[in-house]
Amino acid sequence: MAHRQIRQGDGPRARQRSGQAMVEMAFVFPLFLVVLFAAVDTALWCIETNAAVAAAEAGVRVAVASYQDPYTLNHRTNQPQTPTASQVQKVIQPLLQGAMFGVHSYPPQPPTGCPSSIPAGTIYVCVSSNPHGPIVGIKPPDSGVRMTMVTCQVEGTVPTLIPPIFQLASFSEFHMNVGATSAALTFAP
Amino acid sequence: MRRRSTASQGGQAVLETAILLPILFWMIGGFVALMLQVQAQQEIDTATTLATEATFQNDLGVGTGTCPATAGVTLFSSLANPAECATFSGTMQFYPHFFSHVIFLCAGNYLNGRSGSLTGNVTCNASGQVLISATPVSWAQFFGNPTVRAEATSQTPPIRQ
Repeated sequence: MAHRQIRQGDGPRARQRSGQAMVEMAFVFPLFLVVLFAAVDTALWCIETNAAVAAAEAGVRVAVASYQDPYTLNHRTNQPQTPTASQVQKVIQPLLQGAMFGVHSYPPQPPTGCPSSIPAGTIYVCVSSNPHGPIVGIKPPDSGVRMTMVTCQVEGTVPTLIPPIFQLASFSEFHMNVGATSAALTFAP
Repeated sequence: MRRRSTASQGGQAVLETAILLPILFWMIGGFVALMLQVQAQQEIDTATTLATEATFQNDLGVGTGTCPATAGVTLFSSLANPAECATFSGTMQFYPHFFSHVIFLCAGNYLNGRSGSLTGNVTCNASGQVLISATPVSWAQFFGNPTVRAEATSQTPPIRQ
């Protein structure tokens, strides 16, 4: 693109060249910005999702460590203990906060699990347990005992950094749903 | 003569753009595909690490069977105990249809055949093809679907020794 100043007496050809440069610029600059924002947003998506996967991994470890299977009852209540989402969230929220740009809300897990519709800028940490895992008890008195699987899920809607003028409807935010599952301790040593 | 020169300059610009634009888009697509591969690597790493640690959550030993089919996760080949299988498949099912030809194998020295030594290391290996071809950036991947590999080793904790 020509960046020569047009002086008096340069004639119509110089003005034409300058106009051509401006038209070229008008075509190329939005394209350049789209490419730039796409690259930055892709990198951010990668960083944020990686952080969420790492947080889910840390969360499931906390959940498994705080979990006791139904065969190991809580001595005070005589009920099986279940991992609490608040315990897990306390541990992994700092991991998420360091990497989640534009996320401002980390509400506690609802009793019904992660909701289906999540507003932008919100991330839920949900912990659930499934007592119907694979059978691991093969010797009496544990024959037929099933393993409990504990899952930590990080789900939310993360805004992108694309300025509103370039936002296409689907690119203004992305839905994140990652998780990790681990087996809870089945037998006392 | 002057008119021909201007026309030739315009033609040159169009030609340059025609050459550069596909390269530019290919680079963007390649960058997105690379990010997807990084993501897949992180996911398979997490699943393998958790599965290795899950070995010690029961007393069935290491790699004692093949993993059953799980919704959304098809293991091409496997050798693992139920805790390892359920943990690996349970973590991988958050990314259904993103991997193919997943191989998951665990081996080590923890209650082998229920008569071996209790102590020792357990190592799990996993590999899988990342299905970039099933994503919108498949056109940017010239060399087929990449394969990601993960390995994790864990030592029998004192509680099990």
